[in-house]
Amino acid sequence: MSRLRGTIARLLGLFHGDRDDRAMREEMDFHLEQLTASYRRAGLTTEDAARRARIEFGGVVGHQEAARESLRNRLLEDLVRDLRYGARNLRRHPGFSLAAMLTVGMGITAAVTVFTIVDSIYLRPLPLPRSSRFVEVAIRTPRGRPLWPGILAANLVRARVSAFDAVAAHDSREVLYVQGHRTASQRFGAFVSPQYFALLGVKPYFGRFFLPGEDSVPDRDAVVVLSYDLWRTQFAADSSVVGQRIQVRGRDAVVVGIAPPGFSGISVGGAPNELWMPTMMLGIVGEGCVARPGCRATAILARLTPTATLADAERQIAAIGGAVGMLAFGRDTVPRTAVIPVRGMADDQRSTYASLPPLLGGIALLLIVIACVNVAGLLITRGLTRTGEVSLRFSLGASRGRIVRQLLAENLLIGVVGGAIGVLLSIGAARALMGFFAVDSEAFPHFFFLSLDGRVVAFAAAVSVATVALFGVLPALVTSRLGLQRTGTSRVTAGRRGRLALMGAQVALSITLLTGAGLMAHSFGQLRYRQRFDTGHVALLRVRPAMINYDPPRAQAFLRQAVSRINGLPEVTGVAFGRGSGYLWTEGPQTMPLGHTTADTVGMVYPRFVSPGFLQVLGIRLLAGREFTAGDSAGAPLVAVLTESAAWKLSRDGRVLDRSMVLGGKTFRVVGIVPDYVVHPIHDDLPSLVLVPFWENAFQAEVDARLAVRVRGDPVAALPLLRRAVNAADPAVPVTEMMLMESQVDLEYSPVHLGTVVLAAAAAAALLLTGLGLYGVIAYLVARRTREIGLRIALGARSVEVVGLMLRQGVASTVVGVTAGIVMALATGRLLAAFLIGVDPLDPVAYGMAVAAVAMVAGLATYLPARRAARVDPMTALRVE
Amino acid sequence: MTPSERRDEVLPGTLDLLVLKALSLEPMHGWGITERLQQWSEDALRLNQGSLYPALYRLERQGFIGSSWKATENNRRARYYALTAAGRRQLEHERRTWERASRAVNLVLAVDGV
Repeated sequence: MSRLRGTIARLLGLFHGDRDDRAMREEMDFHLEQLTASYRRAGLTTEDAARRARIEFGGVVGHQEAARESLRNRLLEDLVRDLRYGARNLRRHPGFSLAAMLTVGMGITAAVTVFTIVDSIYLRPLPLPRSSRFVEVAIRTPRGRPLWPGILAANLVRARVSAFDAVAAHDSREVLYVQGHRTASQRFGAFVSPQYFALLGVKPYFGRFFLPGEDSVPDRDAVVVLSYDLWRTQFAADSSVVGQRIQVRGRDAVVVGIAPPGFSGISVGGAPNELWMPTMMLGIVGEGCVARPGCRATAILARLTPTATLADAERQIAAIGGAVGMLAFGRDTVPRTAVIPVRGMADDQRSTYASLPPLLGGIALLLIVIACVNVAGLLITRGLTRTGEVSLRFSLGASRGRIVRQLLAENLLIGVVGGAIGVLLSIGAARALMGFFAVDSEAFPHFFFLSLDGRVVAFAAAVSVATVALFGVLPALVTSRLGLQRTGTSRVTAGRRGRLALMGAQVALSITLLTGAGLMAHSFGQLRYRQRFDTGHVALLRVRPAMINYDPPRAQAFLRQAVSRINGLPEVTGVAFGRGSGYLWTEGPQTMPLGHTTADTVGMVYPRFVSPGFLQVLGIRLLAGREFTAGDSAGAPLVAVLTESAAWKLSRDGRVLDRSMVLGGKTFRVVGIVPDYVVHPIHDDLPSLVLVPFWENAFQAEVDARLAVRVRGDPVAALPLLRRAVNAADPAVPVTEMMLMESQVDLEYSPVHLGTVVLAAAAAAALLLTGLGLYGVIAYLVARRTREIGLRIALGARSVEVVGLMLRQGVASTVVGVTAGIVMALATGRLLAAFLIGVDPLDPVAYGMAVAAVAMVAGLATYLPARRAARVDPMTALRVE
Repeated sequence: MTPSERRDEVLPGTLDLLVLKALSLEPMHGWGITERLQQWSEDALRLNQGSLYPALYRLERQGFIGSSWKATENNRRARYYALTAAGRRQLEHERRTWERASRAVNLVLAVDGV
């Protein structure tokens, strides 16, 4: 930033900076001295000489002013005049102007959209007053693992750090189940200390927030604040709900207030908070340790005083690092401490979106270059029709620099309008792109702040100026040169090479984008192929007896009943269930060593707890052995099904069926082998899985379960039937995350899907622009040569020959462009490699299709005007000009 | 631009030509230009400093001359102006224009008997 400021100052200084004034003054002083000396030599006294010189030279200041005026006013006046003249010119050719502005606008839109997304991920402060002073106090273990410091550490920081004027403890990411007003729903909530709302500068919409005394004793004050949206949707905006009792995770709690509209907590990039409870109530979600050292259940949010700096705060925190460590770890450990501004998303949310900026940024850069190259081609072509106007201005005494400046002013207008288009469209585009992440695979919405702010507008302005430099300078130089030459005959060929080079560049860029899009699309298809299970006609739901504190026996009894009721539905062909969270019951990163005996470790594997029918419902093929049956339940001998890679870990000879293995200290018999299947869609590795029967409770008693139900016909129609069947088993148990497996897979593939869609759109835009650009240039060349063509036809040239002649003009640039494009695409393929799964970056299909598409479009764009040339009537043509 | 003052003894439109010509031999500072022109014109041309410096800055902006700070023979810092390639071409161009114009005027004046 300061370097930028320096550059700007230097630029301004060229015209009226202090430095320039001093130089001018020194120069004038020198002149005066010399004048005085010359009078002295002529015989005058020192005094008289000085006086004469001053009289003759006039006021030094006056001269300086005159000289300066000549610089400054001229420049300003010229600029205003140029802009006015440019605007008139653009109005006179509305079609051309619109095409140029829209093309530039498209490129800038792409760039500004990416910036808006980057802004919301990394830079944007919360939309709250004084949010630029919000910080997080973070600690890491001596080994570098990030941790939450906990409530006691927050209290210590509040008491000891004078750089903060407010400190709050919070846990902003708990799944809660809210019953009240005769309805129940799963919600995302936060546990916060009473300072939280005041720190954020939020006032209650209705009622009050937490009192200091309400967050002092664990598990005593069950008070709750509802978000405005939750209050309206679940509680019908009923103001009498304040003071009433509702149930949160099966526990009674009193509503004390409603948060203002639009306030959704601070978990940007994650799920918006819909209710808040005091930190001392964290026992509701199983964090009963809140008042004890070593309980790291909350993060620390703080606000810097108006005079304190980040460095002050860091110093003060580091000074009490030992004490913070005692409270955070419950033992004598000094953590690494840091004070991090609260901007954009939290670190762990960022990681979800981290792959977007480089991918989208690369695409935007290519698009902007294509747009600029395209508009540069348009401008050069149009410049040819302006040689008369330009040479007239030359003969009226304008310098070449003056004319170039005038042409640049016109191009600047195009860039500015393009920038305005970019600003207008980018917000919608950014929202559409982030819409891919609006809901996660557990059906929770995510919230982002994507609106215009000063940074976005400043970025758009900077990009506009940069694009003008990219697309405007070369055409202005070419046009002014042509005007200077004024040798009529060379007009047709003049600038032709430049334009054809630009066309070649466009062809090359299109190939690059198309290849990228092809690779991504192929990879996306591969992902689906590698899934190895069938998502059609499968509905998902989750039953959560844990949310209302059922114990394992009661939860399991309920689950058996619910499953048998679902099985009784005529639409249902199979039910499977398992434990876990998210996509395909991913259990998270928990791994266990696998071995033949308890002593050995032949590799880490992921255990999965699934019911009988799991393989059948998901259509996973059994390679050998059998699936689980109802008999594989509590008390029966422990059995397991291995995926191929897990089986390979256990035994290189592949014969593992009926052999025994040890997992988590228990011995299982291998009863089946299944192929590897995709669990983490956007990672390349296929994890080694060990499936164990849900009902055997091999490691702990099961409570919650996710259900997958295969149905006949439309699974959407089946969703309400399934809910009713579960409610019939027990109406109190929450049923959540109802969705189609198709949608869940789509959500899980969002980043790849997004990349594919954006690349495809960018490639289509590039192809269209290239086609139009090529068409424009060739059509122009044909029009300029109408007379010549007419002459050729009159002299007996056949139409095939004429078409051939015209085609030749486009062919060379296309061939060069294709070659360059393939080289660039090879480089791009390398960059994309991180996103490509199951596809070689050198995939010949993607390259072949890109070349074919570009060749077809280029051929068509060249052929159409060429054919028109062949139809030229020689008599009319000869009369042209 | 300030209007030309009463002491402007240079023919209107010829200031640029004269300045470029003065610089065509070697780089010079502003004072040197006035001296040189005065000397070459046998004291007939006296440059008005009020228009010399604006003209120098304009010519520099147009790219016909460049400037740099150097020490004079007496070790005094001064800004020296030098012709650029574009300036050399411009000088040629202006000289031809002037010759055409002055020849035309002379031809007209040479007509006898009026």
